[in-house]
Amino acid sequence: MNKNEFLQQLAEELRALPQDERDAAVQYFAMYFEDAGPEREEEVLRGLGSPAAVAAGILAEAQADNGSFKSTSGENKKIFVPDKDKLRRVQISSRDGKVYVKRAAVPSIFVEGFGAPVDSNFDEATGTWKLDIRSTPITERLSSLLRHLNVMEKPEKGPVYTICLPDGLEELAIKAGMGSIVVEELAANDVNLRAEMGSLVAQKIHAKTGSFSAEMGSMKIEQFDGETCTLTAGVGVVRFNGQVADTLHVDCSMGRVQANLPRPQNYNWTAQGGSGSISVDGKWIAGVFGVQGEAPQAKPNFDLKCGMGSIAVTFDEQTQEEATQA
Amino acid sequence: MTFTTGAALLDALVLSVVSNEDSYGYKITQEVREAVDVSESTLYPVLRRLQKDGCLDTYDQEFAGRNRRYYRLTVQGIQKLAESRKEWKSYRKSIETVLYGGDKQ
Repeated sequence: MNKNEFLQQLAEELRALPQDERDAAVQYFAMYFEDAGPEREEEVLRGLGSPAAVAAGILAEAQADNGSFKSTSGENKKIFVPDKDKLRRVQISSRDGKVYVKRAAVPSIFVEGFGAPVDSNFDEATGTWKLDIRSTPITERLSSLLRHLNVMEKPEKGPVYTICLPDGLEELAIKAGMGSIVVEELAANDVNLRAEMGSLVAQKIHAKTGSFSAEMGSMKIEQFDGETCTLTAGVGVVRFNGQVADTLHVDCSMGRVQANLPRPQNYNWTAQGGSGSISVDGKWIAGVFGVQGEAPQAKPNFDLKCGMGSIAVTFDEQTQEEATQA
Repeated sequence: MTFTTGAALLDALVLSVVSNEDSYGYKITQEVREAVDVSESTLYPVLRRLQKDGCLDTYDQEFAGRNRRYYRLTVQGIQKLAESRKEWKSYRKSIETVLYGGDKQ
């Protein structure tokens, strides 16, 4: 291993940390190598130990310090984080602000920027961790608005809540009011993400049942893998790609939903459309009511409901001929 | 040496090294390593913690065509170092009282 490989692996091992913390750590060791000089590189590599071991030390320190946020009076308050072994369900609700969910071995929470108060409760009996991120102070909202309007010269960081969770939870439920949700990668039995007015991005979710809803916001689900998936778009825009073994429910009243899946061997669909438009694999089913496909028993089943919006289900590797027919 | 070096002692050693003059990660590590046997990576979390607690802050200065990050003591860091030195004296005294069984040294 040379110093560049060391730094790369270190960055990888520190994935659970917020970006600026990770950058600071990697930069420190990059400078460390430079100050030691090329002639001491090998010796330093030996002295440092493996990137995983170095990262473990940094993460341990971050854990000890994590979960604190600056209250309006400027003091650091601690957020309770439950034990990994007792944790089975996670329910997060956030009025505004950004919620990042990352995969990690042990649960933790980091707050960047001037955060809102967080209520953290854990119910031992059901293993449920409830995180309630309350409204950010008015000053923060004002400065975020100014940032948005590009009035302020130096962009200031808004509150970002990075929540690290282990794989294998029974339930992950997140509800974001005006804020946004980003889930990077997670395997859980039941995943329910709901962005009322904000945006939602979820990548690499492995779940038995997935439920994603953007009432007025926009949502992007990528590389989903599961049995049943429900996409609900009120007036929002939904883009989905991934695999669904059993049923894909889509319900969009005035929004637009675009779902892309690997071409299944067989499939079925049921469609209910008001004045909207629905298409499956390039075939248009416009202005229909209660229509069903030709293979009622086949899986996956696409259960498509749309009022005035539009739904398009497409398959990968569509042949040229199919595309022309459409 | 077989005595373990706890977090509080490491904090104090780092603060003391930086109090002599503003210094950077590599140099601080080498100086602390003269006193206690810590690995080359041990001090990063310590420096980060001291920085978060407001005992140290950093600035970048150009050196040989690149940036070097210097650590310096804050007012809070100076106070903390003074406290640590006092603590250490009383800690040493009580350890030695037991260790030497009250023998006059």
